[in-house]
Amino acid sequence: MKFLSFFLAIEKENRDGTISHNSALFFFFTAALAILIPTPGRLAFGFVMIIAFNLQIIISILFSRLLVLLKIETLKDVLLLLEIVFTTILFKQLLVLTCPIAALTLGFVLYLSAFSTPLMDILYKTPSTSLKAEFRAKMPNAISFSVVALIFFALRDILGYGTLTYIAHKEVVFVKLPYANNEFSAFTFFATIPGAFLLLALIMAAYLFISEQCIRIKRSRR
Amino acid sequence: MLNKKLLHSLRNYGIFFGIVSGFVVLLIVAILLVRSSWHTGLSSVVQNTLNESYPDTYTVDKPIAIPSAFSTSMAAFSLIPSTESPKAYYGIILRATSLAGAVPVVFLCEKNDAAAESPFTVSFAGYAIPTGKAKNIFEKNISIKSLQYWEKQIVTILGTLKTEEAL
Repeated sequence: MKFLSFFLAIEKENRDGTISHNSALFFFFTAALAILIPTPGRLAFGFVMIIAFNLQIIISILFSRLLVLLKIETLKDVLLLLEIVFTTILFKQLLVLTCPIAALTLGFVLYLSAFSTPLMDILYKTPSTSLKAEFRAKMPNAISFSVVALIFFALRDILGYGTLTYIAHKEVVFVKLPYANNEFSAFTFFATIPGAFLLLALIMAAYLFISEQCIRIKRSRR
Repeated sequence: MLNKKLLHSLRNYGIFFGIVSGFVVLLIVAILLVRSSWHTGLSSVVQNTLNESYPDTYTVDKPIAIPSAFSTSMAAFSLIPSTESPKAYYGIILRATSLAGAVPVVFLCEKNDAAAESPFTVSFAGYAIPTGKAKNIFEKNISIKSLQYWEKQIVTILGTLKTEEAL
């Protein structure tokens, strides 16, 4: 329930009863366009991007804690940048090992994610006093984003391509959905890049609507 | 005698270079370890795509080293045709752009005679991943233009290979 309340916290209620936008989360989503738009609209590739994204955040949190322990905070920014690049290249090598076709298809997109949200969320956020507090402060945003991103990729895959895809050993498996035929439909538009922008806008609008309703329900209970 | 400040700086930069060296060593090891996996995995994808477009016509053979920056986004393999042919054939897989974003594409290359105008004839063999009901999007003008660009580019890339043995 606590997670859900954060998940729907695009709008928050102020002490005086007015509603204001949670700008940090909006900023987070805008920055995350680098992950959502250039990635091919298949669930399998989206899943890989989400794993890479979360891995970058977790390793960056652990690494920044290590730098605090080593007492070299002065070089923290440079080292964190290097660590993010290192993690991304290493992740790509792991992808080559497990699923080369996904590594080929995603290519430079993996690097775009490294220089979007994690940088803003980790480098420019004040570090917490403990590792636990650091994870608590940074992971909810990452989890929220991951859930929305997976819904986004699943919708593009199902509506746009009429398939459901997942990563298996050395291959990407394509499951053709029973209702989907090879004929063109209006939903196929969601497979394209302009369609991805439109779908993202629709998801954001749905988000706003649901969060607004939640706040109204809360108010009426009081 | 080294003063405290200098010792502190030396310690910091020592750790810095230690971490950077660790990163570099780990990456070199990882890249060397997965190199064969890249070619093995992609050769089976090329084989499957060729089988769909040209059933029982070509068998994927050895990988070809591409001496250009494109080597990270493409792979080339020599092909053995099922019927004897004096010509050499190659299968190329690369990441192309389309209206739906990046997509892996397989091209079939045929080496021409020395007298021919172009050293290679390149043709589109198919998309390496199923396009589902979005098939018509991949046949749109913007996607086709991208394929035409790569057909020309592949001739240039294969032309940079220095010797016949390299092919």
